Amino acid sequence: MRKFTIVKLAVAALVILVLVVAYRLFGTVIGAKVGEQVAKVGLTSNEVAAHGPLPGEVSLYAKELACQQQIPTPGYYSSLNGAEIANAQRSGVFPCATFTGSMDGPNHVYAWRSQDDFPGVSYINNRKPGELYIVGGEYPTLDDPNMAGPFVAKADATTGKEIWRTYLDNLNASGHWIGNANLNILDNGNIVVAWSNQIVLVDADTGAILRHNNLPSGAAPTADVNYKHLTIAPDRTLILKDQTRPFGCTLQGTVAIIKCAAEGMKQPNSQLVAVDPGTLEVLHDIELPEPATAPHIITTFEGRIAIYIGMNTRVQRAFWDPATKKLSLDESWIIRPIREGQSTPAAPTVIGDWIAAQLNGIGSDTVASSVVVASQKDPTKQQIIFPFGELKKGEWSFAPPKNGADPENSMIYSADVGMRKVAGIKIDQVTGELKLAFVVDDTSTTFQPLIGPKDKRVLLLTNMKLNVEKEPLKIALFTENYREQLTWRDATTGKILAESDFFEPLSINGLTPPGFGGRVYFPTAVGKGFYVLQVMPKPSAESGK
Amino acid sequence: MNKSTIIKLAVGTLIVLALIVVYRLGGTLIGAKVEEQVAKIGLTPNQVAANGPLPGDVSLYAQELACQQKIPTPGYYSSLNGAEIADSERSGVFPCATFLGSMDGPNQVYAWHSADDYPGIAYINNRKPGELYIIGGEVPTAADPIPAGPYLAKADATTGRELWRTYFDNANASGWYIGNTNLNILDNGNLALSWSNNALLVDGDTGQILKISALPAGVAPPAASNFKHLTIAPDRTLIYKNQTRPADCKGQGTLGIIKCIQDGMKLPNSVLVAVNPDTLEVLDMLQLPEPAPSPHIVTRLHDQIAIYVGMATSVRRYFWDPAAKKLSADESWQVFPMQKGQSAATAPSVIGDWIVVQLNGAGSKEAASSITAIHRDDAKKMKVIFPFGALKSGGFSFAPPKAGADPENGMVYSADMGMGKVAGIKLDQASGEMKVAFVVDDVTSTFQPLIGPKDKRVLLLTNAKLNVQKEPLMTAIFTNNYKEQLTWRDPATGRILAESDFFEPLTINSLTPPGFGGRVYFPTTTGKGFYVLQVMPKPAAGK
Repeated sequence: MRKFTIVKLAVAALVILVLVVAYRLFGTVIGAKVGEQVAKVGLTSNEVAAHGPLPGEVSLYAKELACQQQIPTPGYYSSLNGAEIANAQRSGVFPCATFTGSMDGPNHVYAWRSQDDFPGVSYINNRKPGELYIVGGEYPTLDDPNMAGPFVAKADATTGKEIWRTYLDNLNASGHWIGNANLNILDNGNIVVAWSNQIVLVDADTGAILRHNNLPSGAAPTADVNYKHLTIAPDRTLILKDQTRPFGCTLQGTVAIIKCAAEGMKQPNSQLVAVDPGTLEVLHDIELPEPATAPHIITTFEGRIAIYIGMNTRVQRAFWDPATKKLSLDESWIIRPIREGQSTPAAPTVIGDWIAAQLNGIGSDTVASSVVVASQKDPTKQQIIFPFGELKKGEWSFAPPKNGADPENSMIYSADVGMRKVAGIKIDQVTGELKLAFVVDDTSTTFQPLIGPKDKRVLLLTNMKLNVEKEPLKIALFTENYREQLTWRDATTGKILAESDFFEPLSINGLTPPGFGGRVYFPTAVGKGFYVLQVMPKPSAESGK
Repeated sequence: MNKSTIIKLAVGTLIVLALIVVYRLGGTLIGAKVEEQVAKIGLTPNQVAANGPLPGDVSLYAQELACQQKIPTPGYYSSLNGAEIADSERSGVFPCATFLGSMDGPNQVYAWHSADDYPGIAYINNRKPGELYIIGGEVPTAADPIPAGPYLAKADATTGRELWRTYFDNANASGWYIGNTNLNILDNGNLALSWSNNALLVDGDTGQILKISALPAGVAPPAASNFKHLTIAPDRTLIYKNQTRPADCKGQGTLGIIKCIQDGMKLPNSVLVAVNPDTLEVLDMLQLPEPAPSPHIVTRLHDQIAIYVGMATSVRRYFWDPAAKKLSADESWQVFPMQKGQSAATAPSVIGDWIVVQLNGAGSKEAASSITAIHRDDAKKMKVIFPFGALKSGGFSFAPPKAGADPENGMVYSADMGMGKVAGIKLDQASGEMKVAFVVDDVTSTFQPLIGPKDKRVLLLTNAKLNVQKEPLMTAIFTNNYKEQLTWRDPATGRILAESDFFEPLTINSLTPPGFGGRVYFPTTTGKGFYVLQVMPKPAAGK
């Protein structure tokens, strides 16, 4: 063997030896580092930054709960959102929730995806800190157009690990029309849920179904009603209203109404029903003069329990009399704010003496959306604003979410996903006059919740980004061909304070409710679960983080 | 570059561009549709049709529970099946359970496999609606011949997701003989169980073991005793009986006993033991004259608490005296119904004044199975029927499940897995005379539960289909080389109303108990869990 070959062999052996030594010394480190990188595959930068579950600021839990318990929400569990959307007015205002970011400096968003899957997740409510309730299984997606559900689940509020899940139906076997459902926690801690023509009380500790009853379908065939809307009156009575599916329509989901109505199919009228919260006995029910696709709200007017209902062509007031246990329509308070070409109002909003209604709740190809306010005392006193101007040819206006409102700061918010804008509108609570405060480019199908105290209010807006910029929005929306983020904004100016990554689309017309400790939940039916989001001031470069 | 190459490149670029556009526009659609199809891989049509968990008709839950609570089952939790098989008579009749399908039109079965695995699953019981209890880890399979267990689990009744699981033993470590066990929910909501020579009480909410005590095995070596059988007397006393394993038999599971019996090994005699349901104190013990591998039943005989026991060669009656706290034999009531070549009687059934027993519980290569009806007040009054005729040469009769019975409709049901048939038999409750009402081709090792009210009763029968048609049945059974379905039938005629897909084999000699809201549970050891099944009228085309 030549000397040169021997040297080469020795060098090779030395290299192998060094590699073996390196592996023996650092093998676990290398493996761990590879594992660390693999764990990040598919995560967004917000998730990578969080690197695990987000408990939020636990020191705030008790303070936030105590704050909330000073705000009366009769009939509802007194917590950050015992009610589906804050309270019986569906106000979307959460004054006791905290924004943990900076109001004037850069922020960073952290994200954690729920540990368990919750297919078709739609609403998320908090009971005590740590306790999260979820309704799902009633939101068709492209990969699961006929999903089993609805279900109610309890999950850990930080990890999103399921504690129990109770399925209430499976349309594949029952053949029922399953539309979007509802989620409300009663003052006694139990949960009431209605779907199709049925209602149940669920033990919130165990998930056991405590009671069940059938609800009257009124003028509509039983197969075409979906008691999506459940709001609790101040005397604890449950006031329910059904969405109706057009005659002859066999599609599933609440989207069936929009799709079939667009084809000219006719909806039956809705039914308003009062139900005992303990026994689920139907106390009284009345047929409404029109289909009412959007939720109703409940407030008090001159000592009476008033129910405001947006219907296909009008907004009307009804009353619930807890003494006689009767519902009645108030023929003296009807407004017909819809201009020709516009579509149904979304759920009304209370702002002082005024009732605001967002139009184009199921879309329009001809007329832009508008916001109308009418005096509770005199429905002829009305003001209208078209915050986004006129609809241009070929454009689409679609404003399914109700108006956000901040009575303390005299602000109304309006979102038109079709026109891809959100407006902040100042209202003069004396005259009802409406003036634009700001308009921002923002594409969102959902509510505009407000968190924090009056002087530090933060507006939460989701924002969609199409996967194909030039694709018509309507097609992108119905084919889920987009991603969506959450933005935290200055509620006065619309200025972005923080913005998350873009995730799978938020459940259409769902809510991004606040959680304890400065967190926000982002439910995504397409993503089969939810994200826990938290904003913190961006760490300075010097901190090295 | 020539013109043709330029054109080819341009066309190629165009195709790539078009593909990119299609992907960008339809990407989520394509992805979602692919995901939808992928999710269906490996599922049966019944599972694809259900597309998720099956809660049944939740509007029926309270109604079914209220109906059941009007039917006294002293000592047992008052629910659809607080008792292992309906009640202390192991009647298998569930009048408050609902059949949601059509009695005269086409039906569709929907199926969902439990979200979690339950290896060696044997029985499933309902407590309140939504609460399911599972006993498992004690049925060996080819893949897991010595499973860890037994264990008791609580699961969500719709998803099958486990809420807790409490293991009691592990034969691999303890070396104990683990046979098939039992599952009964006490009237206070806790569970009374036993395995090997132990009795125990478990908290039904948490799975915590509350009490444990040793049971006396009598003449059988402790290592050859398995207190499989637990039935609750009307005064709440737990009446236990052990299955015994031949001294030299090393097989695990109850099937181990059957194999050893078929190899000619001799079983030690069994014992009856009375136990306090709260303290688990042994109140009395009675040595039986024979091995009794099948369960006993407890019923009332006039003002006495009677225990009927099927044994290797006889069927006998015993009494439990709640005042004296004594077990005693009734020497006046013992019958020897086996004909030459027949094997053990399975658990007796009560139908009016008649005690009915199914023979060939441990199988026979010589004689067909038969049903014997004996008058409870006069053991000499006895009627016999061979519903399937004589056994042909080379045939095998094997009838492990007890006879089903429907006293309200005067029907007895007999299943002989070896002969591949099930019979409906009309019993004249005055004379005891039996006549075959129908015989259907159906291969099943399990019970024949009946659901629904008297005039709308539905018979549940599982049905096995061999993977290799020509394989000898017992070989196929011992190697799990078959699949099994559930059929819903008209109990008067045997006509099929609905039939599920074929799944992994049902746990041998197990029950397909009803669930709330029109559901039925199908436990399968090979499938490591259970199926939730629901029948509905077949939707019109286009759904």
